[in-house]
Amino acid sequence: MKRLKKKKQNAGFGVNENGASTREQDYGRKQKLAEIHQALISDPVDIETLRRTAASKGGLLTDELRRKVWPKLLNINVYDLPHKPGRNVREDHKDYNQVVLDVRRSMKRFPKGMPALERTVLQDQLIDIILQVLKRNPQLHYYQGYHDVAVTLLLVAGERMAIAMLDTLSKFHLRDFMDPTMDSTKHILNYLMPILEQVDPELHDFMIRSEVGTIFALSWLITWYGHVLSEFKHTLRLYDFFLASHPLMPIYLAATIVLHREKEVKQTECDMAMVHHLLSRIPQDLPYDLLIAQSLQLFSQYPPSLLAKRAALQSRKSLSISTFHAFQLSTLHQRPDSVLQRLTKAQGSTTSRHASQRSGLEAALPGGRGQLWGKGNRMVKMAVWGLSATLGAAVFAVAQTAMDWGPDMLLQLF
Amino acid sequence: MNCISREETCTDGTWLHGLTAVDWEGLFRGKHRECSDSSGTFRERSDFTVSQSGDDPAQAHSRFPGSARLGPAAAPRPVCRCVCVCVCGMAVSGSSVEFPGSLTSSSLPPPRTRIFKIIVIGDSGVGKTCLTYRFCAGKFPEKTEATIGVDFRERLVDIDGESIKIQLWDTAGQERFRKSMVQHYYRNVHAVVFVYDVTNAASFRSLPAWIEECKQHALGTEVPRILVGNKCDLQDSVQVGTDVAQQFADAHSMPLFETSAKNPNSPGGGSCGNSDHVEAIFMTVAHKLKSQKPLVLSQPPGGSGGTINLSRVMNDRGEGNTGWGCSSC
Repeated sequence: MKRLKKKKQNAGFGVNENGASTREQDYGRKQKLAEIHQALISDPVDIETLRRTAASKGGLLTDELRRKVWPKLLNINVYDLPHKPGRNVREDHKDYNQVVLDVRRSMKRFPKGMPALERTVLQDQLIDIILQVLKRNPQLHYYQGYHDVAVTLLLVAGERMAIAMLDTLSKFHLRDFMDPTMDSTKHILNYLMPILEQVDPELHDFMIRSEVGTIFALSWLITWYGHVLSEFKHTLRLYDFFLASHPLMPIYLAATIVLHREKEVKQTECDMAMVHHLLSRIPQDLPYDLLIAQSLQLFSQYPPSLLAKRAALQSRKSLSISTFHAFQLSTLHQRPDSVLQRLTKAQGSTTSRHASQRSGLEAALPGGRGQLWGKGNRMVKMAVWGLSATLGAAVFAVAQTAMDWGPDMLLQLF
Repeated sequence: MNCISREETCTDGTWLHGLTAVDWEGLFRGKHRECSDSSGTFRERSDFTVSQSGDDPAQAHSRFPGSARLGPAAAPRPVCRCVCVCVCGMAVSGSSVEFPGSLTSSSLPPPRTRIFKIIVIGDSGVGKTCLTYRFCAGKFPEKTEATIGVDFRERLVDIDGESIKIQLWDTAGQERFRKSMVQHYYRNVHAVVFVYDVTNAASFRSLPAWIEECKQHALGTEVPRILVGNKCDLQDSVQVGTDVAQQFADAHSMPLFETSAKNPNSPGGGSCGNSDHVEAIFMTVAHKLKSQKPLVLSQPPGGSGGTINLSRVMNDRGEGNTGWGCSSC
């Protein structure tokens, strides 16, 4: 099962390659793994390298690495994670009903073969995570699509780390979407057309004439494409990229995707419905590595400040954009996990002691000598433990599934 | 690059010409006349259901108190011509297209095909996506997710020998989307479908807000509007009674439909609605629009012309016209 999965994953960025270049890629992959590893144990953590590798070909490669790198990209100490939400997290929250409604029907976001029971456990955690973050930040408002972001974090990093990451993302990258109204979101969407205008005026004019607007890209932006991609590996690839990028990067990618489909768009009837329909259905086989590289290029060629000037975008204050610089600065002085573990322990904080011990199992070994279960997704473990009490035989099946979508071992790749 | 401007297919001004359409008013005249008489209203409503679903009336009407009183005798009551035409038309030549990826294929109708744009609104989770999918794809979707922003579905139907494109705009239910995002899609809408969930009283209580929302986008009484109570297959958890809903619909001069987007063939499902019912809801709207809209297609909007038409129509209504809208809303 596992080998099969790896094959698939390799295929993700080795498409249509012959044997020689596959070997070359394997080599590149190993080199990249070593580079990420080195960046993680540097003191302070080499955040620039982590950002670069997250955006470069193949992204962060494995979920195992994502669990180590994503927290660094967001300046999170994995030895001092928030506690699991208590029972009262669901009480008296204005968004409770909406969150439950959206999470309950988000079945597509979970791996296909996952047993229903396991999925239900994760869905419950997802509700708790979202409500926990909203309760911690009363200034934030839930939006439909927020759950698509949360589920991605949960599936990769487990409950407590997902809370920490979602909390940070909500205060920075996603902040504009969480205002009481969507006006700020609309403002962010307004960056899309000026990019197109710079690159392909003809396409831009066509779209203006069609009156298509920019709502076709709304779900791309506010879910970081998690809502529209059916392959989880593609979502992960993009999350690597966005976690390491400017909050406007999803818009640059949207522009890149529209430009990539330029011919299709121009051949469509110049009508709002037709163009909206064409663009809102995102092709599932897009060349993500290529598009990401192009987005980066567009970003450096037409940075947000330039667009804002040229396109006379209203000088609305975007919290995500205005706080980004400070956020980036805050990530520059992170200690590697081994040091963090020691420091957190030394602090002897009674509140986080339990956390240290537990996540220590999973994150303390940057050398990659972990065993699958030790490094596995905590949620899956919990689900399995819960099950084992009642369904002896079912444990095997669940474990199998967990292995199936569990992390690849770093060790194997060296 | 065949660029057809919106005005050629659907102009705000031109289609108002035919507002006093006979078919549609014939269909609802009874209901309007009996606005204050709830039991009479039910009878009218029951007839309507019979003609649409073609189902066993005893089964089809179990949710309507009026029909319960009428019993099997409801079956032979006169069937509305309009709806009958709908169903027949569909049976013969209704072509269902769920609108796959390629839009530019040769199967596209000629550019002069009339397009009816219908916006579907209502609270989150009431089943807007299921209803529109049911109509356009002909089946109940297995899994639907929250709609973010606006989704678009389309189907080509044949009405009285004319090929007509029905465009359904499926909108996000969450309030924050409707405030600043969905606006764009209210423009040039030909009809509005309000949806609530019969098992969720809150979704019914939100309807005045949705109606107000429509008004704010200049979609007033002149635009055909219908009210759909969805999920009526979940009989055990009904929270919004037909009588209350009917009163509300009457007060706002809208026809009420109770239905279930779910396939009635599933065990325990749908004793009141079925696939034909969902079909009939949208087809009925399409018929209404067809009878309203003039056949002239490429007439320019003509600036002030539209305004004049509008005011004339409103005057007509003021004089006791029993059109779609009514001054009470």
